[in-house]
Amino acid sequence: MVATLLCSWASLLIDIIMTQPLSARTKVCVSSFGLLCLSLILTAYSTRNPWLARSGSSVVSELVTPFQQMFTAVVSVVTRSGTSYLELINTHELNKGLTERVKVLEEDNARLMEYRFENEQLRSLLAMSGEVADSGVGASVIGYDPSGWIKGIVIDKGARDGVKVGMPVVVGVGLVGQTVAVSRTASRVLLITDHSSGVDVLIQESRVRAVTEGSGSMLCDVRYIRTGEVVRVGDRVITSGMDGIYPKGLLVGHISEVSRPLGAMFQSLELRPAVDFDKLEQVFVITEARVRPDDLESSPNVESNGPGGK
Amino acid sequence: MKRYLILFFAAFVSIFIEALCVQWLPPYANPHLLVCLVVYLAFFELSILAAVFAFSIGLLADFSSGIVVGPWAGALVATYGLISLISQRLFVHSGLVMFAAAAIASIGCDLFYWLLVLEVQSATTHDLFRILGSALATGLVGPLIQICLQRAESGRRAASSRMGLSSVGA
Repeated sequence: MVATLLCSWASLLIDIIMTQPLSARTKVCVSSFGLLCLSLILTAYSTRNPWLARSGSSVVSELVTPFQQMFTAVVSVVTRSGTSYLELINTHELNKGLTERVKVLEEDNARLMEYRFENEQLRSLLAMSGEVADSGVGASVIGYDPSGWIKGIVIDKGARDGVKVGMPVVVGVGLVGQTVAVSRTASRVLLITDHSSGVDVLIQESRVRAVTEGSGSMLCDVRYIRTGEVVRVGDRVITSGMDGIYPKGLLVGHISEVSRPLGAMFQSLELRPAVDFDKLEQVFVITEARVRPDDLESSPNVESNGPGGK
Repeated sequence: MKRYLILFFAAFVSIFIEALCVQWLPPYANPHLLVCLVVYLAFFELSILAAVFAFSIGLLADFSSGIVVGPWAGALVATYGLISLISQRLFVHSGLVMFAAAAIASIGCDLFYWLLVLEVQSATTHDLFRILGSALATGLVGPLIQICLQRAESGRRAASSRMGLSSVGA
């Protein structure tokens, strides 16, 4: 019944618009009013019958969705490109910052490596000094003899630190020399490779006594070993402790060459010092050497208290 | 007829753009592009077909929302009818007039829609701010749409006149 009423009313409206002599504006207003009423009816109907809105919505979605997907894909590509570009700029800045930081860390690393090397040197000095010295003082090499005629070094410890003339100077690996001149804050050390240096030594394996003298080069000469004695290349040479300067047992070097000239009384030997004098940085000055029991037995000044004595 | 094709295509694009605006813009800044189209139609096309067209694009908007069919159709056709009544007394080529007409029409459409869907959707006071914000956004967009549609139509007319002249020459 309602549908019939609506149809009849609509047909009346259309009849008025089409047949009556109305102005265009009036026709538009009347038709707008008619459509407005139609919209109200549609609203009332779709409120009670939701299928109408749902089915229409699905049709419109089917039409619109492909364009929305295309647009979303384009926006996504543009956004990703923009983000990548911004990330690239950030990466460049980050790279710069990290390069600076690497430079700083490399410098720190080099410094720490230096500290570690110095630490190892000092530890070896300490370990060695514990064996041969009751007391001593560590020193840094601050220079070499300026004249060039003498094989010597200058260290940064002097009289105020307890250093005196004639004290042995060592490093972890072996003998360096002895102090020959001492001022208040510095001392001069004569290396064992100098012409005027002489060390009373023992060939460790054969227990043969000899004297090591500097040759002015990086090597030393070993003298006063009879030709009958067996000495081989590579034998260890240590201090004998007999000269009253160097304590017994300090490594001087290794035999690097042996020659026995025909008709000579003594062999001609060459010694390679254990210490690399070109790389000296830290040394140890023995201010008071440790006296070992075997030193006392071999000393001529010691009295024998055995059953046959006194 | 070509004018209605251009307007129908514009309506379709407007619904698409409005769907995007909902995603990116806050609710109080969404413009009613369909209202701008209807206002333009009311200014420059006075016919029953135009009223039916306004009703149709309103139905299209209702179907795209999927809640109730009819409110937007009624709102847009009512807007068309009212503006077409007074369009003769307005300087329709002015941007300011288009701004005012679009803003007021947007408020009217929103209120009309609001009243019709109260039965199925609850309303809050936030909706009032949303309506006012949308009206402002619609008013700002209105003159731009007017310029675009006028350019599109003038291009169509120029093309038609060139075709006519060429046929006369032949």
